[in-house]
Amino acid sequence: MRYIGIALMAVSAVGGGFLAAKRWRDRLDILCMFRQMIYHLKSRILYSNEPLPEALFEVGSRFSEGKTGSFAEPGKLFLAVAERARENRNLSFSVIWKEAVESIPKDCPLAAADRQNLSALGENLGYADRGMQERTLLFYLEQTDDAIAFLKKEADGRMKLYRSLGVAAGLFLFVLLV
Amino acid sequence: MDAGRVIDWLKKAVADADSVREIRIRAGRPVMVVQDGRERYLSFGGRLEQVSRRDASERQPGDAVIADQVLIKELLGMFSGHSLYAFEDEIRQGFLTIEGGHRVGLSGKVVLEGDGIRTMKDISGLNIRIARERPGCADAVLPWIYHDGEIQNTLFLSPPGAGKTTMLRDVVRQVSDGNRHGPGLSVSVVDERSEIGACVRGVPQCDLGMRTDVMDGCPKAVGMLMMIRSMAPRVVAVDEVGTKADLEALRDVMKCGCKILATVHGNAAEDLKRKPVLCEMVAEGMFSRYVVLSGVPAPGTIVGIYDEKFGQLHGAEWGKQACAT
Repeated sequence: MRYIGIALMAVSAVGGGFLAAKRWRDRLDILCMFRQMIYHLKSRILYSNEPLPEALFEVGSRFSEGKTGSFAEPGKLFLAVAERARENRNLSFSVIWKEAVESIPKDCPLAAADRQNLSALGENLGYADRGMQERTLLFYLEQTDDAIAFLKKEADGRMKLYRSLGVAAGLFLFVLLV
Repeated sequence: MDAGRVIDWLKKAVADADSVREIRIRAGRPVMVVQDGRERYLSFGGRLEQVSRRDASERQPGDAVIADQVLIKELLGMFSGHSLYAFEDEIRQGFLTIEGGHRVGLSGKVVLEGDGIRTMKDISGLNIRIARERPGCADAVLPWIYHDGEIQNTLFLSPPGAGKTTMLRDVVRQVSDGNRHGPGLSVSVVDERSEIGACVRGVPQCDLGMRTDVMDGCPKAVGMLMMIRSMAPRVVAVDEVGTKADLEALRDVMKCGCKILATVHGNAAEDLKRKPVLCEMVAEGMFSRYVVLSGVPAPGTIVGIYDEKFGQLHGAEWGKQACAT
């Protein structure tokens, strides 16, 4: 029984390392998804001249299809904003957007900086002319590209590090307790 | 002033929304509601009050809800779905059409770019004109715009707010569905300002009949040509014609054998000869029927119906004055 307990602790330490590595990978994938969604949004606004609720709904529906867990969050965010913007027209768009960003679950692998960038995106959306929409979206894309570049650059090293640390912690526990 | 509160008061004040024709909101002035032909101001708590002579001399009654630019800005945000950028072209023309086909007229400071208008800023006045469907309002007109079971090219003429778009909408519906004067025909509506069909995401919210296709938000002249090429209509309907391009497009529509239902602004039949493009249309005998409407005593009142030579078919003999062209 004792050995089973020790083995479980060691396995969970190894698993923790692998989970941390996966979280890193997922954050990268979710940011890539946000980038793709913003490109779609930009095209809907600039090409089809769609109002925000309509454009967000279309893009959100497209990107929430077949997605589960954290990967469904970007689509859900757009759909939630679209719905609230339609229903509560007397609320400002920035408030609706900010509240929706804040309601993204804590276990979604987005860093605080990612959430902050997302929140800032809503502050200027819908304001002024089409050119302003484009610049606002491009500014967010620039920030996201920087974050993605950093994550990609660090991905291999960090993922190896997290996994190795997990394995090392597991072995350490095993040696210590046996 | 908070837009949500003003809307709540308006809802409370106006029990029968169908009877409201206009809501006028001007910065620094009372919110005015035109209902059943009477203009009243909105008071705190949600009541409509008549402007008394004393109030008129003081310019604004003490209990009136006074609009400000914050309210106007909030309302514009609401009307545009937080997306004023999507209405840039319409704002340039001084209005925007919102869900339901209601037209919001704007006044404010115009920003020029060369000879044209770039945009409008510091918007200080809104005129919300409520669109309405009046099924059956064209019943009295239909017998006169058909001849031997065939719909005739018809021009509806009236001053603003006298019901020509409402009348056109009902004529389109009845022509499309078919009626006792003629069978149902495929109708193409070119709805430049989204007022006829009140389309939401391309789907008309107003009943335009079962054989009607709508080209929403498209300039009339371009839209008419697109429709005759793509949808093979028997009838083309457009609101507020009057430019040279409209005239050219109408000629093309007629060459294709399609019939036209159109409206134009005008106080009297004489306006047809005062406006150069309309004068040309009249001289060419483009229309076989002229339906003159008035807002008095109520919108949609038929003043007279005339043939291509302005011969009186129904109503007052007044149209004859215009046939001197």
